[in-house]
Amino acid sequence: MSKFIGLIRNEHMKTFRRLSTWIMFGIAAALLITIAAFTAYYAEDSSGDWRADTEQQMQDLQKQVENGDVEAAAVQQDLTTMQYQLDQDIAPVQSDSLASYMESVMYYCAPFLILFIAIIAGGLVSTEFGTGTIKLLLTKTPSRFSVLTSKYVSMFITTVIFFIFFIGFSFIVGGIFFGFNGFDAKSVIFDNGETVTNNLLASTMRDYGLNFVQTLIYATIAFALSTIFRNTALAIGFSIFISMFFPTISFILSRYDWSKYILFNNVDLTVYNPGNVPAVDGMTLGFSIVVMAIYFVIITVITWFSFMKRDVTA
Amino acid sequence: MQKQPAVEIKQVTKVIRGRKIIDRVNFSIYPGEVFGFLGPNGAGKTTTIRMIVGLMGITDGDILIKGNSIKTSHGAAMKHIGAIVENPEMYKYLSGYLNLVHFARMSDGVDKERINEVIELVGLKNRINDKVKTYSLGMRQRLGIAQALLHRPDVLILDEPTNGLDPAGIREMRHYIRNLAEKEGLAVIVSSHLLSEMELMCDRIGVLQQGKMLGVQQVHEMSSEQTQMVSFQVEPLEQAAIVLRDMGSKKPEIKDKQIIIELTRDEIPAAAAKLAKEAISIYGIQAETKTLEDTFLELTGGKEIV
Repeated sequence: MSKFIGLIRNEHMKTFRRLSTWIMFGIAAALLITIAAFTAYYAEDSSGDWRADTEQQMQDLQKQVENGDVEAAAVQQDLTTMQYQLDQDIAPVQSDSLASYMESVMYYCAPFLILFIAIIAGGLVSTEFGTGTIKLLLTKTPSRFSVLTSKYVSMFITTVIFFIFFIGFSFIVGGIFFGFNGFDAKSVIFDNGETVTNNLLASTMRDYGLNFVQTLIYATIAFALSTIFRNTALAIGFSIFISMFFPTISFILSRYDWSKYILFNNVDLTVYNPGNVPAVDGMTLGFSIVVMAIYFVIITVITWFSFMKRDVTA
Repeated sequence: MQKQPAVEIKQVTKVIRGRKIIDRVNFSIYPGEVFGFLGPNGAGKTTTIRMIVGLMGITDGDILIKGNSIKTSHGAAMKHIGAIVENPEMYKYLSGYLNLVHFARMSDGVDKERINEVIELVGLKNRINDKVKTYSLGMRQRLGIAQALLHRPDVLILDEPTNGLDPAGIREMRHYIRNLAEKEGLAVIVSSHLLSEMELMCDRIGVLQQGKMLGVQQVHEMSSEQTQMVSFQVEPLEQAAIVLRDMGSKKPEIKDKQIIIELTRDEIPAAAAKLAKEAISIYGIQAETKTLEDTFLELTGGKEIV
């Protein structure tokens, strides 16, 4: 066991002694600060009395409907939401608040997390083959199984570190820009014809958790391709391509019922949040978890089997 | 050699895509000896080495490291092996020291002291904290050896250890390998494409061709019965030829102002004494150590050994 921990420490040393990993953290930090600066710069001025503002907005919308500028149905949701806020005394979330900023960071940076983790995961095994260091790694006492497993565990921990960095850094940057307050900020969401309230910070954390699952699945695919094909470019390229373009493909395929069995239609669990809809009718959270679990088992079995059985000719 | 072999290769066969790459190869390596592995390109040298260290599977037969099968007890077998397969590839973006820390964590009982000991041993102390990408090839070779020796193995496997080294580096490496075998009692397996180098370094040389072991030849044991070609640089030539006529099994030959004659080792000083007695000036006597190469050329059917 102590040797297995040694293997994980080795993998971590190799990941975090690489310049590229620190460049990713640098890009992430720059991104988060930029989002904060833009949010602060473009924030709308509010008079301080949100009730008056909301009532004014409602009146404006109603006037537009009377003039025939917009369809009544189109603004009905907005009007209901605003009325609900007034009735329940829930202040709308200001864009220049810590909670709102953290939510936007989560929303905008989820693809970056997939990108960074896929880059790291896609190189974990194939670079060892590329540089020939795999020969040293496999001619020591640890079995091939522990070597590969330590790499996967290290990838998992790296993913956790990246998520903690995004959450922690956005909290600090958000706090500095917008003040460490408003932790109870609530958003009002229209779900199935009903209005529900959400603690914004709590829902942001929930979505980070759901994105973690999605990131891990893409990372596992990158890791698997890296191990099976021993090709870094293929591993990174394919997983990033799928993560970026699958929504389009999914839209085209959504009329076919079988498309709900495609892994990539099930990785984004935020579609089951209140107010969102899954790609194919009838999909449920439980269904997606089962589909992911089955794919996960198949992918890992092939990956480990391939790594343990094949000859090393690098 | 009554000692228990360090490495036993038993009837090893490797089939890749229906092609027999290695065909029932058999040999043993004993503690304290340097075993040279020679053969033309594509003969299966690297494949055999990769099978010994477990990088490639064995189709048939078995390889035992100190009695542990590489097939069934990989961990126990690898404990005794230190290896560099082909080039000494290390993590270039890490320092030499961190590379050693990396491999120390993969082995039992390698502490900081042992790491420093090995660094001292290979003479990398001054540059050990520099990144490996700044190292010369010779330094990488040394780091490779340090990595292989960390866990005090009984068997050292070096694939083309002098590849890319300058003459001084080759000499140093040779000296080093001999030292490990003689003083530390390690069994060393070396593969090289330079026969002359193998002769200087190895105790025994095995020749592999087209996946078959053609024979194992002792290197340094020159028996007194074994003959070799000896050339004499003498004046006058004709008179010397007459003097040496009744020595050796064949007639002396005059070539390039030298007399070439086949003699046993014991006959060389006798011949020199005879020439001196007849007042023939001797400028040089050279024993041609071509016998080994000739043996190999015979074994491989006259094909060049690359």
